[in-house]
Order: sequence, then structure tokens, then C-alpha cells
Amino acid sequence: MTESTAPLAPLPVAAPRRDHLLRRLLRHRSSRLGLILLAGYVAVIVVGPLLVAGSPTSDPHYQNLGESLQGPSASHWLGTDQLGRDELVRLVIGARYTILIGIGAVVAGVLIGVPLGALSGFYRGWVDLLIQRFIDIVLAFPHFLLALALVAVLGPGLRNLIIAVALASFPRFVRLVRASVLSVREQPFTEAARALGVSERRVLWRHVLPNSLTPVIVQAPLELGSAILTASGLGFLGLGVRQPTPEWGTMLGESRDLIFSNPRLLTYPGLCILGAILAFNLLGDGMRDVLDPRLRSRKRLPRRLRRLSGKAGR
Amino acid sequence: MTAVDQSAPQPRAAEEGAAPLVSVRGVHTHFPVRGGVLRRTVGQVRAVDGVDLDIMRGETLGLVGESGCGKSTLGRTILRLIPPTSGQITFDGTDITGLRPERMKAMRRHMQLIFQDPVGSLNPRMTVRNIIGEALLAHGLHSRQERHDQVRDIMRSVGLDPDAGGRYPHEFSGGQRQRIGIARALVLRPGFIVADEPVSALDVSIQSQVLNLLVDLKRRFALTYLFVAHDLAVVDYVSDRVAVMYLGKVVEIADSVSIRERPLHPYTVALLSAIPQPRPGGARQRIVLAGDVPSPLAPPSGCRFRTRCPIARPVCAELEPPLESKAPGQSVACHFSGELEVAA
Amino acid sequence: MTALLDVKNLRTHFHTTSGVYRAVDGVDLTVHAGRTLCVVGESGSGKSVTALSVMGLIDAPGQVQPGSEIVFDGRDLLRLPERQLRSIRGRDITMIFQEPMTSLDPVYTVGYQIAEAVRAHNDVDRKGATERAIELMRLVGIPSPERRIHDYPHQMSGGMRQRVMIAAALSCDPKLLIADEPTTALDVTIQAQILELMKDLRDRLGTAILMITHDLGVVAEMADDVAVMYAGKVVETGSVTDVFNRPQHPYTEALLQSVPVLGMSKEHPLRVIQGMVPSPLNWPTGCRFAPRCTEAFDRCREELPPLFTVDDQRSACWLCETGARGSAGVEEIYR
Repeated sequence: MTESTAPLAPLPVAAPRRDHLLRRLLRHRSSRLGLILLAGYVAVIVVGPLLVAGSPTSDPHYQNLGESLQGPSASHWLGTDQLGRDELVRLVIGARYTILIGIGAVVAGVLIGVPLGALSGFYRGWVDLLIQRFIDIVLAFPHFLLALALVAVLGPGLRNLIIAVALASFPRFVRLVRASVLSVREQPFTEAARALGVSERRVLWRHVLPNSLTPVIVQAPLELGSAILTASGLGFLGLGVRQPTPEWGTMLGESRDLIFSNPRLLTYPGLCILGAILAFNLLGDGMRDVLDPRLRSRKRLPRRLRRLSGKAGR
Repeated sequence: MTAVDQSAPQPRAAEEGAAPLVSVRGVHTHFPVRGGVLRRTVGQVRAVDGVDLDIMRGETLGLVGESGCGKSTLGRTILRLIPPTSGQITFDGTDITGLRPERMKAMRRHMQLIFQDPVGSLNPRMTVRNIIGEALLAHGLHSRQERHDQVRDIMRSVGLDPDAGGRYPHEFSGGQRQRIGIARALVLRPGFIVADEPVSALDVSIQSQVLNLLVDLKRRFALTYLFVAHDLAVVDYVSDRVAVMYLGKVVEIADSVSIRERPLHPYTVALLSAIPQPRPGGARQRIVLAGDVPSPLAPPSGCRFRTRCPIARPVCAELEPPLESKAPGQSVACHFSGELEVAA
Repeated sequence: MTALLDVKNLRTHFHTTSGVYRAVDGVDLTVHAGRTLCVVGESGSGKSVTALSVMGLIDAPGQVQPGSEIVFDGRDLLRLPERQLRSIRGRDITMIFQEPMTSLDPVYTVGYQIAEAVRAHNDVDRKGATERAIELMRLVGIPSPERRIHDYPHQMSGGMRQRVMIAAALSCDPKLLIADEPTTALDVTIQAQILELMKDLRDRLGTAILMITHDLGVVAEMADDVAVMYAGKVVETGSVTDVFNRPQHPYTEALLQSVPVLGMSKEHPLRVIQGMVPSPLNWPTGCRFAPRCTEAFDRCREELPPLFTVDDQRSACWLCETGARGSAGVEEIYR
């Protein structure tokens, strides 16, 4: 009677702590590392240009062929590239492009994907059929090839790169939101709202959608990592931001021919990209643990033990 | 069970001549079962399968039955949260079965639902004030300030601190959450409430708080209840009349004293005898029904209860017994009503 | 009367991120051979964790605290090496749970699962185990067991699945059967079947039963002895007739009066226990029921009362320090 609907009730269930998301993320080991890394990148984006400003060499486009391909020195801490540009300056200035492309693409993907997924899951029927078949078609293309084809059609450039990466990543948000909406729309509180005479549209936007966004928030940092990777790949192939803008992927591509003679020119931007992706993935892992208690693994009270008594001892 | 009391009072609410608040006629609610690659309908779950019922103004009608008997579906069908497959539902003289959406929305002000699950039925991302006030907003009632006052009023009525309106549902205990759900249902001042297992998810010591509250609110707000529950003792405590459901049909309906003291349908008799009483050593005869409830996908022919009935005879498989009056205010659907008795 | 199971000062705590969750906090229980003890309490009272502790099924972050004793058949289970413990658990002590669906593995037939339980503790071959499984299924009243051993759990109803669980639990003639809310998930008419079955098996096999439940009706029906738990402690214990007819602890008394029973007088509203069950993270000082108790006085809020012996009962209430207190038993409700 009492516990038929709450089978876990007799076992202690820790009361959900309602402290700030940021504080919870900082307590989690992997998201703390991710956040520290990200803070580093943000610091570079904000403060970096001020620090490297001053001399003409601080211009990432400043060329001095006479000083090309120098090793690290007091005036050029990370050396120079084949056109004599300061490598460190280019990396610092490039940070904003790479991060901007990633965030822009994911924001665009969320803005397209969430409404489509919500409509699809909430109204079902032919709306769902239409949207899902469209998504099926988009997903039939490999992620990277689709972005490649889109840039080829739209032409290179920052804006087109963001659009291309976003179009390749939004189907995942559609699927995610749809699955979530399908389960939330069956929750009793949506029925309660209907019983009160609340309109369908309001049920969707006010009750169903806000409760369906957790997986999106969890997925977003992971998508950011993947968007940066895609953008860098396109940059490497020369389809990204136009030269001489110092985007990391583009920098990798420019130095392609020097991989044996000057491997450091590939190593530095490569490490920067690696660090950014790592930061977002760590943050994403932490977010999943913090926001999605079903997947939380450690320091949690056990689920009620369900074992056949005869097998319990094994 | 106590001895049969012949001087039981007559039904209070079901007086002759008074027009019922809610009238249910021949209502069926079936759910298609789809299967195979083509998602074709392969069968019908006959959750509610031909129910006639009147709910009088001001009474509490208890609806009792085991899981899967269709009692919750019937409650939701009456509120038209689930469309009936066929049949007619009249609320306060208006046939609501085919009402257009905007008229139905206006009608919802007068009929509300209280849920079983005090956790799932409250939107976790809304404050209590917004949860309770949403109905007023949806119906465009009152100014902002008036809405605020109304919410505070109703929170006080259900025993919640009105100053806690800015908090979220998870900050409340199970019993308090159920009060929030009750406040939400009452804020529109409806006349009719369907309470779907309102206490079965609550702890014993909290149950009595909520039951007493429901009884008290009924008096203060002149409510009519359809009280749906599986626990006959709880239903008996709150109800004026009780309807017993089995496999989508009402098998017996009578005032609660008659149901308790002289049940006529063998299922009611068995149900009563199955309830464990908190009375140690009180030896009494128990009718243990054999087997399980048959699937509502393919109910038995004739009387649905015959597969488990201790007094079933061949005619029960052939002829479905109609629900007919067997005693004043007591209707039973059984060919041999009153033949199964339990020694006290 | 010999004590088969004697639990002394059992404390099981869970170390969580939000603090130490003292689910079971000093529980004393005795189950006598061949008798049924019902542990009754609301959710959060620690009754299920008590059962799991006896079974040795507490996993991290839960921990049975040092100083606790679980003496079964003369041996302290908490001091036994894992190997010996395993031979007791599942053979001498078995357990059935509330959710018969989730306790059974959906990918194996029920016959296989019972046979597996048989083979875990008996030296029989597969054929012998299957025969024993059929025999057990017949014992627990499953019709045509030869056919139904090939059924998968999802093909059975809730009542039938609980019978399968009981059959598996009885596979090696246990001395003690622990049943954690075995009928809570079932309908009343099915609950009646299972309760009848358990009573019948107890009488025929002489198995002692430790049953966890929140339903006072089930207690009255099944129990010889009863222990009432509140906030991680046993507040009252004794024979079921004594406890129900003259409850000594105010909590027991209030609990008995707060449950609607058939045929109770409608003139009186149900007794309400104000407030709510306290959190195991932060038990109140003194008597844990004091904040909700109508009889509480200053001492209750300061000092935790021990279990006082009152005639054949024991009650943890300061009012019982000097002997029995007058109280309204369950018969009052029917008046």
C-alpha cells in the first residue's frame, strides 16, 4: 500500500543537494580539470592579445621571411613559422577562432535541433514522421563528409564553417530531445496541466521542454569537442577560415609539408586542439555525472539488492 | 467481519428524483494493441467495457477494484482526459462526450483530478506558487495580485505555509506534495473531484492526515468526489456509496454500509474477506480466490468473474448478468447474487 | 523457546556525500525457532536495511558498525569468514523480496532459476535439481509445474512470480525465511493467496519467518511476535496480541489508530500523527518520536529511552519506566 509505487523508499535516498551547478562541477574530479583547462583557454582569449601586443611581431599577419622557421628564442618563445610569423602570437590569437567556431556551431545546432526534436516527440504523428525521415537522410551521410560537402558548396570562411559544422551536428540534438520529450510527455504532471485546461502549446513549452533539456546540457560540451575537431579537420584541408587568419586547424594545414623538417609547427597547434577537446570532454563527463543521477557511479547509495536468495551468496 | 446489521441506514446521497451531477451511460474505453512490423491493431484492451454510473451532487462515490480493472481509466474518461470509445458522459446536464475543445476547456474549471504520485505529478522546475496558480492563468482569471492572493488562500486551506510558495516541489515531503496537488485541483473551485489513489503512495502516518484533509475539504468546499482506490478499507472510510469494478465492469454498487455488511456479489464478498484486519487472533473465514485476473484483451464469455468464482455454474459462461437492483440502493451483476456468504 | 536469530545493537550506517545516514541505529530483535516475527514500520524506519543486514547484503557505502551482533543458531554472523557465511546464507537463511519481477532474471526460465538455487547448496545433478524444482513449484501451489518450469518470468503474473521466489527460497529447507514486504506489490486477492501459502508452509515445514511489512493487517494475520520500528530503532516489541491490544509505546498506539479499517466508526476522524518521519541524517536528540508525540515531556526530548520491560512486552518510552501505561488497543477502533 504505502510503498507499492516507491519500491526504493525504505532504503535511504540522499536528499538532492540544490547547490550551484558550478560548485557541483568543481567538486567532480574530471569536470574540475576540464573547467581549469577551459579557464586557461578563456584567459588566453581575453588577456592573451593584450600580453602579446606592442611590437610589430605581435601582429599574427606580420611577415618577415628573413626570420622564417627559427627555433624557440627569447624574442620568439615558440619560434617562427615558414613566413617568419611568431608562432606563439598566432596560437594565442587563433584560440578565439577555434573556440568561437565550436561554440557557434553547437549553439546553432541546439537552436535548430531542440525545437525540431520537441515538435517531433510531442506531436508525434505525421510531424514526427516527416522530421525523423529528414534526420535519417542527414544522418545517412558521414558527419565529416557532410560538413566537407557543405563548405565546398558554401565556400570557406568563418560563418560558413560554423553553418557547416552545425548542420552536421544538429540531428543528434533532435534525436536526444525527441527521446527525452517522449518520456517526459507521459509524466503525470503533463496530464495534470491538461486536466487544468492548459493549452497543448503551453504544456509543451512550459512543462515538457524544460524537463527535457538535461540530456542536451550534458551532450553540449561533448558536441563542442567534436565540433572543434570537425572544424580543425576542415581547416587542415584548407576549407576552414581563410589564410592568414591563424585558426589552429588552418595552421596545421599550412605546416603540413614541414612535418619532418619542423615538426614543432604541427605539434603546437595540435596540442592546443587536443587540449580544447579534452577540456570539453572532461566537462561533459562531469556534467553527465552531476546532472544525470541515473548514470552516477560512485558515492551513491546502493539500489535495492535484487537477487534470488539462493544465489545471493555467490 | 462484524455481524450483519439489518438496520443499516439507507443510502444518503442517492435519493430518488435528484438529478445526478455526473452521469455515465454505456461507456467503453478501449486501447488498441499494435503489433508486427506494420504496427497494425492486433487487439483491444477493454479497460472500461460498458459502465453505467451516476454520481450524485455532494456525495463521495468510492470506486474500488484490483489493478487492471479499469478504475483509473474510468476516472480519466469521466474527466475526458481519455476519450471514450463509445458511450455518453453527462456533467451537470451537459453532454461532454463530443464537446469542442474550447467548451471543454471551460468545463475543466468545474472538474479536477488529484493524482496518486505526489512526485511525478508536480513539475519539478516550477515553484509551488506557479504550479498552483497555473490553472488561474490558463483560464485567464483574475489579475496578478488576485491570483497571488487566491494561491495563498488555497495553500492555507490545505495546510501549507503560504510563505513557502516560492519553493520547489522537491523541498517538500510526500504528504506536503500531495497537499500541493490538492491545492492545485481546488484553486479553480471545482464542484467535482476525481481522486485517483490519493493516499496509496503515502506512509501510514501521513495517509490519515491526507484522508482527513480530503474529508474536511469536501465539507468546506461542497465537493463531490469520485474516490478511486484499491484499498477497500480506505474507500469505506471516505465514501457514501461504493462501486466495485472487475475487468472493466461495475459488478456491484451500493451504499458503503451495505457493501461492508451485506455484499451480494461473490467478488465483493471475496474482496472483503481478503483484507487483512489488524485484529490478532480474530479468526474468520476467508474466501481465497483461485488464479489471477484474466487479461482484459480477451475477457471470459458471460460473467467475467466466473473463472475465479466459487459459485459459478454453467449459465454464468453463457449469459452475462446485467447490473440490476437487488435491494434498495444496491445493484449487483450476478445470476446468483447473495448466495456466497462468509461466516462472521 | 530457543532463539534462532538474536540481533543485538545492530547499527548499519551509510556514508554518503551528504553525511552519515544512520538507517539502522541500535536494533535488538529475536526470532524464535518456528515462530514468525513481523517487523513493522513506515518507510525510512530502517526495517528493510535491518533485513538486508541480517542477510549480509549491505554493500558500500553501507556498513554494519562494529559492536553489532547478529547471532544465528549460536554463531555471530558478523564474525564468520565469508566462506562459512555463504553456506549459511541461501541455505539456512533465505530471503524473498517485494518485487518478484526484478528479483528474477528475465533471460532464464523460472524452472532453471529454481534448479540453480537448488544446486547452489545441494549436491545434485541437473536432472535431480529440475525434479526438485517441479516438486517445489507444486509445493507453493503453481498449477501444472511440469509445464510452467519452461516459462520465463514475464509470462507469469505477479502472484505466480512471488510463488516462484518462495519456491526458490525453500529449495534447501531453510531454518529462517526473511520476507521483505512480500505482498506489497500484489493485489488484495493475490496477497490473500500468498499469505495463506506462507502460513501453510510455516506450519508444515516449521520454518521461522522474519517478515518486514508496513501493513498492520498483515502483521495481525501472520505474526506471533511483532517489533515496531521507528527512526532506526525498535520502539516496542512483544507478542502480537499484547502489542495490538495494549500498545505501550505512544507511536504504536497512534499507528494503530491512524489506519482506516473496515467498519470503523465514521463519527471520529482518523488519528493523525503530526509532522513527519525525521531524517536518518539527523535524528532528533532524546526519544526520536518525541517531536511528534502527544505525551512527550522534557525528559523525552533530552534522553533516549532504553527498552523497558513491561510484563511480557518491551517498550522504549519513559512512561513505561515504572510499569505499564494505560492505552487504547486495536479493539477500541471497532467500538
